[in-house]
Amino acid sequence: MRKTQAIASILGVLAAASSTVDAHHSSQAEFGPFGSETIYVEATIVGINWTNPHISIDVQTTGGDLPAAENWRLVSHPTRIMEEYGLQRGDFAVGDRVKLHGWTHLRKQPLIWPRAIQVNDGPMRSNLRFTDMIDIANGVFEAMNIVAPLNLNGSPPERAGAETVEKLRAMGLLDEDGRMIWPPPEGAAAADD
Amino acid sequence: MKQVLISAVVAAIVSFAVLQVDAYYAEAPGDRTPAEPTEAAAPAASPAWHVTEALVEDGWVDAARTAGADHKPLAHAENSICYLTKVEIKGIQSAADANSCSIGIDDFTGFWQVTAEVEEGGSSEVRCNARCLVWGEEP
Repeated sequence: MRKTQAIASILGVLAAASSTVDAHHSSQAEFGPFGSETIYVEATIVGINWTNPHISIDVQTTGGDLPAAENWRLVSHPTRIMEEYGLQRGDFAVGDRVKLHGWTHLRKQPLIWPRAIQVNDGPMRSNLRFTDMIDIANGVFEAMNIVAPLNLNGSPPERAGAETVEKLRAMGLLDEDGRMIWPPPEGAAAADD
Repeated sequence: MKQVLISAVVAAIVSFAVLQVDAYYAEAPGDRTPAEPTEAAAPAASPAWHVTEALVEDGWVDAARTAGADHKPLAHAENSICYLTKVEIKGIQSAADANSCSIGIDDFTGFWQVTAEVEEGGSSEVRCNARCLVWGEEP
């Protein structure tokens, strides 16, 4: 009886341990680092969930790096942060065409985090300022024709990484408080690369 | 004490069953399907099934910051069964502070999804974990 209890206890502990968890709930944990490679997707909006804690937009692909006619869900910030980026609920409608650069989910879930998104023939608008900062520091942002978000100017860049902070400082793009200055002031240095 | 014993027995039965199923599939295919010699001759087959990991918060809503429903796709419903493994609720302030964890199939993606929800007006925090038994594909 005692032996049976011991085995039951061990198995119970093993069963409990099997459900331990080890990841983190953040966009980088789910979609990769801010500076990682993106894919390009063209799609049509088929549904909009402009709700907290994360807005989502359902799309069916029409072209780009994903096969056509697939269902994918774009996920992004809470509604308040979307508005701070300058993206409003009214900017999107079912049936709109979208083009976007984004990251697919690392665990092969049908999710995309848009790095930048264009609706119909509008501008390609940023949806992740820390990636903008990395691209600005690397001197490639302006060539990408992505419109910087409203909340880029004045944002602390630490989450974009120490290397980016140093580059932005060297380029004269950080103010006295270490916050981003954009567009670049007169006389700001260009990135080396 | 009775609950502890029941929990231990249930955990033991589940673990034993999982080990038995695992052992069953770990055997050479020919051992259990003698009528199919081509399978028996095949090299080590890929796992017939696996269980997905749970994230720290598959579904997570902290209504002190923002209430709502957080949906997380898990695995394609075509070849999986998913189940809740943990429900954690903190900071309930009143009887009206309603929250939940649920699991179901999302018609749009065809995936199982776990949903953590705190209704508007609530201020509690809910975290939901889920795992899936997936068959017929590599982990």
